[in-house]
Amino acid sequence: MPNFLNRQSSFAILLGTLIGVYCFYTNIEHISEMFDGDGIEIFNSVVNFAMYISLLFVSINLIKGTKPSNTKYLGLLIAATIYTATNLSEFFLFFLTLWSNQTVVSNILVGVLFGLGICVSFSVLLALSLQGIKAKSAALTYSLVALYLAGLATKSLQYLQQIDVINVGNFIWDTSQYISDSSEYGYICNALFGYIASPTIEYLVTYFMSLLICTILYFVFSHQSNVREELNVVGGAK
Amino acid sequence: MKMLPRWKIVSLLFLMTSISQPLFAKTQEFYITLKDHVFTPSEIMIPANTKVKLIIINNDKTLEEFDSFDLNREKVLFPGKQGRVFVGPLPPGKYEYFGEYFPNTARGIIIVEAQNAD
Repeated sequence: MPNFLNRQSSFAILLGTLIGVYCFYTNIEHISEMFDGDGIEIFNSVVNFAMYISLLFVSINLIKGTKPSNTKYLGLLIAATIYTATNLSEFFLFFLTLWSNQTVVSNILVGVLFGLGICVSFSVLLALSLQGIKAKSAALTYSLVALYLAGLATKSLQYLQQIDVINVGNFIWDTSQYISDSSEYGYICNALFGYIASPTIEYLVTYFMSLLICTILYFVFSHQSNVREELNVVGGAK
Repeated sequence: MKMLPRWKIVSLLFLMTSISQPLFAKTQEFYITLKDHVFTPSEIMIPANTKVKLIIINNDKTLEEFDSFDLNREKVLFPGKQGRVFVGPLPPGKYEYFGEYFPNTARGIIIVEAQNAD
């Protein structure tokens, strides 16, 4: 868990998420019918983009090794809350639809508990691994964050391609014989790095543009950070 | 009044044509109906290398999600409502889709045929 995520803000995220789930879940059908039936795609792409921008700003603090400002922090909290609420609402749709159509409810509960257990274990392992990597190499941690951000950027693109706002080009390659999108590895790689087996040219352009932005930010802000440290050393020596 | 050079007029016309073509070109529509957790037709043939619009009508009383890993598409379908999804241009091949909530019964294949290409 990041050190700036204290008990108060964790409570705010939890409360905001619960309110968000309620608002989104009760209005999802109306949202879906907006924009000629493309409401959910547009809503999700906007939420993804907001999450992307707020994480990109906070990633600058990761480069500089400083805490984010109150404004950035608030922006991230709001984006993360809406992002979590929309995803959780879609899970509730799935869960409640199955619940109302299955005769054996215990099967659903066992499945959900197993799924929840796997998710929590994976999240804890991932958080601990990232903490370990960060202690050894901040640059490597930032590279992983950059890959995650690139994946997040492509998710907005996919929503917009589905509703024909952005054109879809031909597939560049197909790696489904190695890692299929429908396999467990495919799921994990998609969630972590935005992996898809058959990317299009638009997907690759978005992915590499995002990586380029992160690389530029890294060189600009790590250079600024180094200059500041040198000035501090010089100032301290005087 | 100063006239534009000929190469600029030709370039402008070319640009206008390339922009207006996708705007006015009619996208082919294909209908899929969901009833009793079964997609009908379960096989659809679409032309290769062409963008098409799938219109999926949910005639069930329950929610369903049209999902396809092969097409990289997912669309929530509310009871009694329809949803649209654009797919392609695709190379020839078979692309599976399924209903996420009832994957055992709600399944289908989109067959992309080379001879149907534009």
